[in-house]
Amino acid sequence: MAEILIVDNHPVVRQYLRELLEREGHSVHVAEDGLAALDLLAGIRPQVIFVDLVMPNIDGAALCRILRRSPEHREAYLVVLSAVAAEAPELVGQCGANAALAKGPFRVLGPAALQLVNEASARGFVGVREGIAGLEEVHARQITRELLLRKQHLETVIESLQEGILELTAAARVVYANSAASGILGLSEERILAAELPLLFPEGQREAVRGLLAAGANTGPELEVSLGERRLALRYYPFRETGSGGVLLLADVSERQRLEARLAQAQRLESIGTLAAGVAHDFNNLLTTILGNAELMTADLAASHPHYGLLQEIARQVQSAKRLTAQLLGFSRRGRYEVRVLELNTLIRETAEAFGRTRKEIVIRLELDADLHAVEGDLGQLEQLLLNLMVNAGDAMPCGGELALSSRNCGHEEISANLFTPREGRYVLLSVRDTGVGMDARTRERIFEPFFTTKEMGRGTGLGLASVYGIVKGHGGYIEVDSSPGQGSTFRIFLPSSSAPAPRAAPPPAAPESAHCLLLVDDEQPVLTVAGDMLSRLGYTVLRAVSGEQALKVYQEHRDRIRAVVLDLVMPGMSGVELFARLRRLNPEVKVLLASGYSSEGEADRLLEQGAAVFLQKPFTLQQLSETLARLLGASPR
Amino acid sequence: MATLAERLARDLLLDPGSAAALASSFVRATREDLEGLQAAVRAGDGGAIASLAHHVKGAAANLEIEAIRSRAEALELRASAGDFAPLAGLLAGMNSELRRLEAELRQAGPPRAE
Repeated sequence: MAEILIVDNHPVVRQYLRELLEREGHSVHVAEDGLAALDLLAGIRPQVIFVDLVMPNIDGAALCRILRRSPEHREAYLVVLSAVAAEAPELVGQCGANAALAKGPFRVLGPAALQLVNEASARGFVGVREGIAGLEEVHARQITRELLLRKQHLETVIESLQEGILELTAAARVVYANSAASGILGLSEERILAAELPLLFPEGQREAVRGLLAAGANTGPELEVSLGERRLALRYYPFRETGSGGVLLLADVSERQRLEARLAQAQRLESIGTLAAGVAHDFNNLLTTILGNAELMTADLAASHPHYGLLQEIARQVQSAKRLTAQLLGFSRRGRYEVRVLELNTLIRETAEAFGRTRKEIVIRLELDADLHAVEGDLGQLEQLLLNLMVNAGDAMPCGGELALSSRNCGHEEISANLFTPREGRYVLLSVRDTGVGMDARTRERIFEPFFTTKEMGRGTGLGLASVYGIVKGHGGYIEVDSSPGQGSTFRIFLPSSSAPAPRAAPPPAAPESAHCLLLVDDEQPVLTVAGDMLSRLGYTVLRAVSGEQALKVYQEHRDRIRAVVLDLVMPGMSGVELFARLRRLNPEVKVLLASGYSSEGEADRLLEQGAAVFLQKPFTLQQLSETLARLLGASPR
Repeated sequence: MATLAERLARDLLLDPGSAAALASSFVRATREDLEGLQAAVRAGDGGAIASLAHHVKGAAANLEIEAIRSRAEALELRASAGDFAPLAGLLAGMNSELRRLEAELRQAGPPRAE
C-alpha cells in the first residue's frame, strides 16, 4: 500500500479522495494548499502526491516545481488535479507531473484516481502516464478558455516587471514570487516560497522588515535595506481583508541611488561654481584698480625712489591674487576661453619639461600618439589643466615615482557610462598616471570640489583639481578618475577632436598710427578711473561712460573720433552684450575690446564670433592692455 | 426523491455515514463561500466574487449539484465581465438551494466530520 498526500483547497475534494483511497488501504494525508503541503512534507515522504493546479498560497505549478527540485521529494509520483484539463491540457503538461487527472464529477474522478494509483503502484511509481485521466465527462468551455488566457496574460505582465513581487500570508510567509523577486533577492524560487519573509534578509535587517509588515498601512510605507552591497527598497500593501496578508514590492535601488548621488554632486559643484565665479569677478575688479594704480604710480617714479620697490611688490602680489581668481574662474567655467586649434602633444611636452625641472626625483614618461588629432581650446587654460594635474601627481609622490603622460585618439564609446550620455564623436584622450599614494573612495568623490584638499595647511588651495574639472567641462570634455590607496591615480581627460586645420602664425601688427580716441565703458567708478588713466598713459585720448546708455550717447556724439570701445561685459541696466549689439547697429565696423572679471559662458564667444572684438581678462597690466589694443587696432603696442 | 447524501452514497459507492459527511462538508464550505460572496458583492469586489464563485462551482460540479453549479458559474462569468446587476438574484437563488440542502441534512441527523 502507498503513502499518499492530497493537496487541494476544497474540503470536499480532500474528503472524498481520502475516503476513497483509505478504503483501498492506502495511508492518506491532506493539505489545503501549497504552503500547508510544504509544511507537511517536512515530516513525511509520500510516494504519490495529488496536486490541485489552482490553489491559493503557492499554486500547483509552483508546488510541482519545488517538489521536482527537492532532494527528498523529487522521486514522488506527482498527479496534477485540474478543473481546466479540457480547456488547457498544455498547462497540465508543463508541470512535470507523472500523470494528470481531470476534476470532473466524483463518480468519474474517483475510479480514475484509483486506477492511476494502481497502475503507478504496479510500475513502481515511476514513468509518465500519457493523457488526462477522467476526462470523459468533462467538456471544454469557451468562457473558461478566455479566463485562462486572461490569467496567462496577467502572469506574463507580472513576470515581465523589473520590480519584484511577493505575496505574503498573514504570518508573513511567501506564497508567490515573480522572477524579478527571485533575481533581486538572489535566491531560487524553492528557497523563497514558504519562507518567512524576514528570514530572507540578513539578521540585522529582519527587525526592520517585521516593522514594515506590522505598520500595515495601505499607503505602502517604504523601507530600505541592505543586501550585500546592494540597496533594496521594500514597499508593503496589505490586502483589504484584515489579517489576510498582502503584497510586497521589491526594487533594487542601488543604481538609482548611485546616479542620484552623482547628480547631487554635480549640482553641488555647479552651485559652488556660481558662487566662486561671483567672488572672482568682484575680486578681479578690485585687483584691476589696485594693479592699475600701482603701475601708474610706478611709471611716474624713478627706480631709486623708496616707494618704487614697494609698488612693484604690490603689483607682484596682485599677479599672485590673479592666479587664484583664475583658478576659481577655471573651476566655474566662467574664465574667458580664447579658443584656437591646438596640437596637444606640444603642450604636453612643454608642460612636462617645465614641471620636470622642479621635481627631478620624478621620472616622467611620455606616450604620445604621433597622429593625434587637434583640439579646439584655450592654450592658457589647457596649460593650467596639465600643470595642475602634474602638481597634484607630484604631491602624491613626495619621495618620487613615475608620472606617465599619454595621448591618443578615441571615440565616445570609451567614455565610461556617466550620469549623462557622452556626446557622440571623436575625442582626444589625455591620461595622467602617477604611482603615488592614491585616494580612497571618500576622497575620490570630493576631489573636484573647490577648497577640498588633503594637503597640509598652507600647501594646497583646494582649487587645482576644481579648476581642472571646470576647464574640462568648459571645453565640452569629460574627466574620469581611477584611484585607490597605494595604487596611484589615473586621470583620463577626453577632449572633443577638431577637424579644423592648425592655424598659421598671425602676421605682425602694423606700425602705429596717430593717437587714437577710445571710449571706455565700465560701471565701476574706480575701474573707470584707473583704466582711463592707464589708457591715457599709453597715449590714447579717452572718453568715459559709466553705463551702457551713457556710452551710446557719447558714441553717437563722437563717432567719427572713436577708433575703439573698451567695454565692460557685466554691467547693470544695459549690459555690455546689449551695448555691443547697439554699437554694431550704429557702426558695423566698430572695434571693441571686451574686458571682464569673467564672461558669462558663451556670451563673450558669441560676441567674438561676430568679429571686430578682442577680449582682455581683468585684472590686466599696462602691457597687456597695450598689446591687446594694438592687436585690435592692427598697430604695434605702445 | 433521494436526498443529496443518498445520491452520493449510490453514485460514489460510499457508505451512508461517509456520504452524509461529504454532503455536510459541501454544505458547510458552500455556506462560508456564500457569506464571502455576499460581502464581496456589497464591496463591489469583482475579483473576489469570481474567485469564490469558481470555488463553489468546482465542488458543485464534483457532486453534480446542478442548481448550485449553474448559478455559481453565472456568478463567476458576470463578475468577471463586470456585470454586477444580476448578482444579487443569483446569490438569492443559490442561498435558497443551500438552505434546502441544510434542512435536508438536519433532518438526517449530525454528520461525521472530515
